[in-house]
Amino acid sequence: MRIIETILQNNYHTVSIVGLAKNAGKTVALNYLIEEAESAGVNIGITSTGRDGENKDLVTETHKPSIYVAEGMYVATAKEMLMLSRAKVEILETTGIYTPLGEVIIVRVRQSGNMQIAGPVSGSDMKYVAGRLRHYGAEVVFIDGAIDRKAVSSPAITDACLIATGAVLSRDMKKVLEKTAHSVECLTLKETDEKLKKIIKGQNKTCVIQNTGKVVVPDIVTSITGGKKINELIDENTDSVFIKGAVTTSLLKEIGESKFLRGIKIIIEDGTKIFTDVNVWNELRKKGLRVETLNAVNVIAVTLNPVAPAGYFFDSQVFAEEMEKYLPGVKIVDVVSEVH
Amino acid sequence: MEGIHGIQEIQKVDLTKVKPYGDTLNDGMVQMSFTLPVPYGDEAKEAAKQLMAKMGFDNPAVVYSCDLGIGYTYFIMYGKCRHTVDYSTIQVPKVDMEFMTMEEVEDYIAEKIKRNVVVIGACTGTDAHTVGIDAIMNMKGYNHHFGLERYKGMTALNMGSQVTNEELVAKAIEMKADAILVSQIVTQKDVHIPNLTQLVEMLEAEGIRDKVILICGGPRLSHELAQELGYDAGFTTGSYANEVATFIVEEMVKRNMI
Repeated sequence: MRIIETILQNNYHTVSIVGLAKNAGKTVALNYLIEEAESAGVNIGITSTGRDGENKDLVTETHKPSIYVAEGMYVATAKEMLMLSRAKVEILETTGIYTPLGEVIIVRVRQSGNMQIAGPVSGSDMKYVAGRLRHYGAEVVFIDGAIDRKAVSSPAITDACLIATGAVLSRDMKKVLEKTAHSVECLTLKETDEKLKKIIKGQNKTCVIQNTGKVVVPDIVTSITGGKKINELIDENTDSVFIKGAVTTSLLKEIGESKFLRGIKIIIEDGTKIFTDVNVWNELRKKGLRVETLNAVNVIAVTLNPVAPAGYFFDSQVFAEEMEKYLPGVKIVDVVSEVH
Repeated sequence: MEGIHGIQEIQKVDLTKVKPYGDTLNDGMVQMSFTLPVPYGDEAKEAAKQLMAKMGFDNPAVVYSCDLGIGYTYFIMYGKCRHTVDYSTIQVPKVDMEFMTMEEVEDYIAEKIKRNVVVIGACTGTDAHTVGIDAIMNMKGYNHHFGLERYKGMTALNMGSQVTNEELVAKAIEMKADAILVSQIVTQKDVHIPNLTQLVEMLEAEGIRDKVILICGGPRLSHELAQELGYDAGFTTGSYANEVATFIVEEMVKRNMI
């Protein structure tokens, strides 16, 4: 099934494309989606949390794909990018949201052409802008990520996401497979049951939940530095611990020291909140750490770019097959060589 | 002055085809230096020349070379650049505003914000080079521009070097920071990029990204790159404290963070 069909069937209105590194192929994936949507006759809106369609990468100086927007599409981009646009547009709204490249403007494309796209940098502004694109008539809004920023894929901001990964992550294919699998694992953790969700949503703070349903809120400003205090509240009657906000390496380590680790569940807001070192994560998993999430991210597909800007590349067939082994059940698309 | 002006008119700089200037206009002369991991000697010099030719320089010449020991050689080279750039089409996004002086910023805070503006700064990740953050924050300042610590109406904390993103975010929450300044001077293999994006992601995760003005600075950063990184502004080499301060206080008023 094509990606656009999956999007329509599941009624996803906002879809983000997040990369695991710079040059992982986000923009190629976006162009792939644009093409699918066009051929399916779906009216789309596009924006980016970074910048898309510029000729050269600012860090690695590599050539980057341009973005061709067709008549009728809706776009949110910064004023300075609009000045450089080859496409002719009609301005629908000036949002009052400023980025380093100017105010974000919402436009409708009147005459097709290449365009650079740079939208709001913060998650909450992005949510607003995606809503406005929908308001003007976009059935689906695509939000391109930037570098390795994943926050935009949070279920609090977008309905579903595509994950772009590629050879750029490492010369060693196994490392690319492992890193990608870890990222997908974090985003698609099992959702916790409704009863617990209700308790947690009532608190909306980091808290320790006992078997009896009793909730204890530790006296901390942020979970980042609160690991010790959280740990002290965990005992044999603890059912689960809800962590609001960032789940860092040191926090998990401190909770991991609890001798009751095997008996408890850690519940997080969603996978974009995990900042834990892969090795520490796997070690704690072996020690019995169980992690669930309030909201799982809907990962529609993982896109592959077998070519790295440093000049090396993987055999695209082998790369795709190996990735399927690491991510059973996940749709894998090689957007560069199109083998699938 | 008239004389110089006259020469420029005769030679006419073509801004659509700019190339380096050595002794005469458009001679393309470039001086560069590098080290090769080969022992000092004639073969080393030849290697340096061949390398420079591969880089696209005509008439490569070694003007200085020096034995660094352990089989390494240092070179200073001259060569003529073949390429040109079209200067007339270049556009670089910058923080585009009229900068206030320190006193003007202080008055602005007193009149419009009416409370202390909390700014914390750090040199994050593995970077131990604090010259950038010190130039902006330290009381004594830099090049006749006092740092933010001296500003009336500002609470400025310079956390120093090799600060982790976790520590920085925790401190920002604890102090209810209005602005966070991150400096990245020397970074290996572009580690400054994922390090800077991780901070943005952590602030998003903690739900405070839109409660702070997030600024990055350093020689390899720019206002343009700030967009991709997810920052509100990027300042590069040659920026002063009053420029950063102007951006912070005006942005606070614009976003109603008073």
